Amino acid sequence: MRKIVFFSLVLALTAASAAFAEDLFVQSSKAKVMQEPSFKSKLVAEVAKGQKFTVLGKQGSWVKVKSATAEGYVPALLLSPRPPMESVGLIKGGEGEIKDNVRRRASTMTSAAAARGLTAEGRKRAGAEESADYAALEKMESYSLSNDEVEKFMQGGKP
Amino acid sequence: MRYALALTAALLTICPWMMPADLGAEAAPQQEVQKAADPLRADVVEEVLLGRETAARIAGIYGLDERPLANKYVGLVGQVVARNAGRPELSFHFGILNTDVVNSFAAPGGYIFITRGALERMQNEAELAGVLAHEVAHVAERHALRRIGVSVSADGSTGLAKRMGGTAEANQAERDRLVEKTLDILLDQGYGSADDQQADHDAILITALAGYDPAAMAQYLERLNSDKGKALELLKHTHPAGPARVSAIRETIKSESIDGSRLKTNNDRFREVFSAKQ
Repeated sequence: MRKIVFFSLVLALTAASAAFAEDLFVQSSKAKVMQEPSFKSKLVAEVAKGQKFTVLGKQGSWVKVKSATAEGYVPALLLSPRPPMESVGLIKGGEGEIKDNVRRRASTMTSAAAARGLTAEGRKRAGAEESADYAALEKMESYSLSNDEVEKFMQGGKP
Repeated sequence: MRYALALTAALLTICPWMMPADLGAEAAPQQEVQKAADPLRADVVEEVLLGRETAARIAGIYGLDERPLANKYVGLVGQVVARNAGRPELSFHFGILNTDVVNSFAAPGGYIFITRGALERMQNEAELAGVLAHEVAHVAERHALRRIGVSVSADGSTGLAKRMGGTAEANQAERDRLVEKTLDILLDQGYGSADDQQADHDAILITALAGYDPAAMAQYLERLNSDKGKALELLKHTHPAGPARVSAIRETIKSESIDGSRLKTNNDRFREVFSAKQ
């Protein structure tokens, strides 16, 4: 009986410790796994976005991680507890989550702005509010760069 | 024995997180991408819309410098930097504000501005990368959202979809209020020294990961410190004291073992772009 109680508790505690093992996912398009927590350290591996790691420890800005094929250090800012989300944004030439929302709200925006009270800072900016420049913003949003262009630029290509 | 089994069963029932993942479900694939129908996405959409409205106001105040080559170049440097920011769900947009004022701004959701005045005081691409990385870091860490009273959970949810999503009047009023508060942070109050120090720290790592020398950012700020011109008034009002900031950046570069690394500054490419007739 005692053996069974002991076995059951060990099983439960093992399950609990396994559940506590923290997983992190790579958020950047690529991430270098270094042997030590330093940019000057030896490169162990290069992994792609979405790579799942088990956390072994943390040291300053770095996290010690392990996957089936690599173990080493990755900067904490490239990792998140959730898998990377698909891009939220304007879909060129079609409808997207942002574009749909912008259109749905455009008709109601002006009346809401006029109805609300303005803070002191808001009053100072009241003139500018009227001239919120969505045309300029759309132009800025239209400057799209392909992955290929960015890669070539990173390799030293001209803009 | 019954007690032992009951104890184990009870533990696993009350605390399902105690069950190892591979006992409870099929092992997840090694590389995963979070798909749609994720409630976090709705919050991210609102974060972008809040940033978009804020950005339109900033564009309205200063106007955009539309030189095509300069915009393409700033966009390319920005995209190289943003790839290392840890927010793949955001589409970052980079614009140049047509003003002599020296500053840079980050509206939530990935709308980043740098002024023509700031670009005119830069000497190389690594300086530009450092400044853009600082702004990208503010976005990645959702500093503006936190400053306007939005609480950000560990999983990244902000509650913005419930608070300002849809067309209900109350939600629109809340959205307008949050835009005003964000503009207060960007144009008047600044983020506060803790957020700026974190953005500098992250920017150093981001620029190094992108292959740029982060020491260039310190050189640029040092140059600004010796400039007493009126164009720097807003920057000095909204950012931490210059010399202390430069020292902190150099200290971080050393403590992160980036000093002495042979990272690029791309002086020639920077000069070619801004000396070209556009």
